[in-house]
Amino acid sequence: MKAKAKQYAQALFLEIKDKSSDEMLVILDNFLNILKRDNCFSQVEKIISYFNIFWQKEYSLVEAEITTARSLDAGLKKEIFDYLIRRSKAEKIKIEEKEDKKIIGGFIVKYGDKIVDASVKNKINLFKNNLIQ
Amino acid sequence: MKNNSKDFIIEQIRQRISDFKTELKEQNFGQVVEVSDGIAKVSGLSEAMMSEMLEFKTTAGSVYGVVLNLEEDNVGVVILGDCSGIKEGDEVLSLKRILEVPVGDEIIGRVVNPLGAPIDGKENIKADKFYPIEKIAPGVITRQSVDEPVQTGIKSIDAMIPIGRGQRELIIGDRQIGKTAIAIDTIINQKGQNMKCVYVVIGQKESKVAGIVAKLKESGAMEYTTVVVAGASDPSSLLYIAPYAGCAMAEYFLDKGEDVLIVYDDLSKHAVAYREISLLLKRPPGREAYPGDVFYLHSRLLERACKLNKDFGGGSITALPIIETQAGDVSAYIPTNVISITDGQIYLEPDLFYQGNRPAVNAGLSVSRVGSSAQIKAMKKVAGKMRLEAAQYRELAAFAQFGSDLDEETRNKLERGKRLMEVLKQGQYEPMDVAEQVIVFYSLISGLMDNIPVEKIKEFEINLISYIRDNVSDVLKAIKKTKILEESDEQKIIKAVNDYKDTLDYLIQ
Repeated sequence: MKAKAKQYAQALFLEIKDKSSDEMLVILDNFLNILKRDNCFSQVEKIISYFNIFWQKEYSLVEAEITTARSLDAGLKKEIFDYLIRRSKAEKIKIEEKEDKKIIGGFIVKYGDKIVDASVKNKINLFKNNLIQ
Repeated sequence: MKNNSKDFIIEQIRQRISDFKTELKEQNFGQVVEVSDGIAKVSGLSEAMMSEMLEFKTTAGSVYGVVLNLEEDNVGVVILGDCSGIKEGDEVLSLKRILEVPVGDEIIGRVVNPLGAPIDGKENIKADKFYPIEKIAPGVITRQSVDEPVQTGIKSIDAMIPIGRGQRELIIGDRQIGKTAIAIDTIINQKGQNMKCVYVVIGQKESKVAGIVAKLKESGAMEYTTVVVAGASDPSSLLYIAPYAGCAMAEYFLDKGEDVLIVYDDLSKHAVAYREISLLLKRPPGREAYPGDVFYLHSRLLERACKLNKDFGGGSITALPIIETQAGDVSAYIPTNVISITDGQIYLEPDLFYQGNRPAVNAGLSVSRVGSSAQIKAMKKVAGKMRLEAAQYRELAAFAQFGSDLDEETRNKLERGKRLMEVLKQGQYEPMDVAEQVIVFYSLISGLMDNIPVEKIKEFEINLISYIRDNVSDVLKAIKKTKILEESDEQKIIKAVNDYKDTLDYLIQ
């Protein structure tokens, strides 16, 4: 039976865990050979995304994305960082910052599959809908 | 509106603005992985619930969808509306709300889509209450057996296949044979009968719907009727939720202790829409490619029709589902399913229809399993004999085609039967009051019509009714009030009919 992308990712992850970087390269080589044997290269993207999920879960890592209209100062950044630590119960957080003038003001924080939309654009939209009703 | 001053308006605007508060909340979100034919696969959304509403953020604005499949890594969503603006990678927000529709007295007289939005060009519906479209049907404790009649105003149905409040009576037949006409006549006849009506259109032509709404308006039936429309051009997701949404609207009145009549026109198109959704969601197909839960699809809908007992408000929902058969095949999958769910069926036959017997109700194959206990006493008295006459006529008519030598008794039976068939003919949009029906049937079974020529029966009936209205209206009133046909009233009817017959010149000597 053909293995699924998730199973490949899990196998790879369990093999690679706690190995040195030299060993890791060998494992990766073997893994790619197996994929070649099984004709599964088309699934590589999926395998990578599942691998990412396993990795983040194991090391309690969360990737977050903050979108603001202007760049944030250190104090605010710290506050958001603390909020994310508190909410996601993760140990490490990797933050990616984005600037988008279209949201007018405020910020949008995304982490995992959660979103906090505190942008001015969203508020204006809500206000508009409220008035229409 | 004397308060319409400038200051008042400004104050209102200020008030609305200062009342507006936003709260910051964390929302679950996902991304569109795949989108096709009104179905989307969305990744993320780890907290999604079954039949929860989702908001698709597209460049053209928000589109809503409902969760229908929860899988290991993604959720299957049906999109309620235009799916052409949705792209792969679009953001999807979970709204933490089960799909619900606005309900209330405001929706009476309106034409709405299955989401409760008006499509009759009138003002927005301001409903305070929302009901979830899927609800578990009332349980055993809350119910009571059917004991009040629904007067359809159609002679053949009220006499031979009576319907009670809280009953589910299937209307089944081929295309173009008058299934919708029966339902519409029934709605029109509910005027002044303390009944709210919901007419659910599933996959019908919009032109037909426009015609029906115009007819309902013309006859004043829109004062107590709501029309829920999922037309032929709407996506199948809307067709799928339409009957549940209509039922949720009916349940609001049920909870207030009122009686509701709901017509689902028609459930075969509903099953087809659900089949389309199921196949696109890659659920395994079964017989006729319908999914395995197509029985549950209709049974959970029709179980919501009920008669509640006094402790629970005493309201009722009477359901008239319609099924369209292909070439009279009632043994197909969906017709047999719905026949077994409902409390009886009205079977319309093409042969009768083309012979001119309209409504083309086949009295032999049509049954009502619970309605006879709801029939008023006066009708019961005359209808029992009528049903017998009709059955005997059908049997003899088949025989009489072969032989011409018939004894007198048989000939009389045949003659009586011909007149009976003539009396049961009725035009569209001409529902008849129950007391008048009783009088017509009484004069038929007591032999008073035997010397009226068959081709004159129609004319005789119409003129007799107006004669009775003018001369012995107290009998009509008595039947309506007491719901019983007294011996004394019978004598009065016989006398009135004979008096009227004396004025005629076309009697058979």
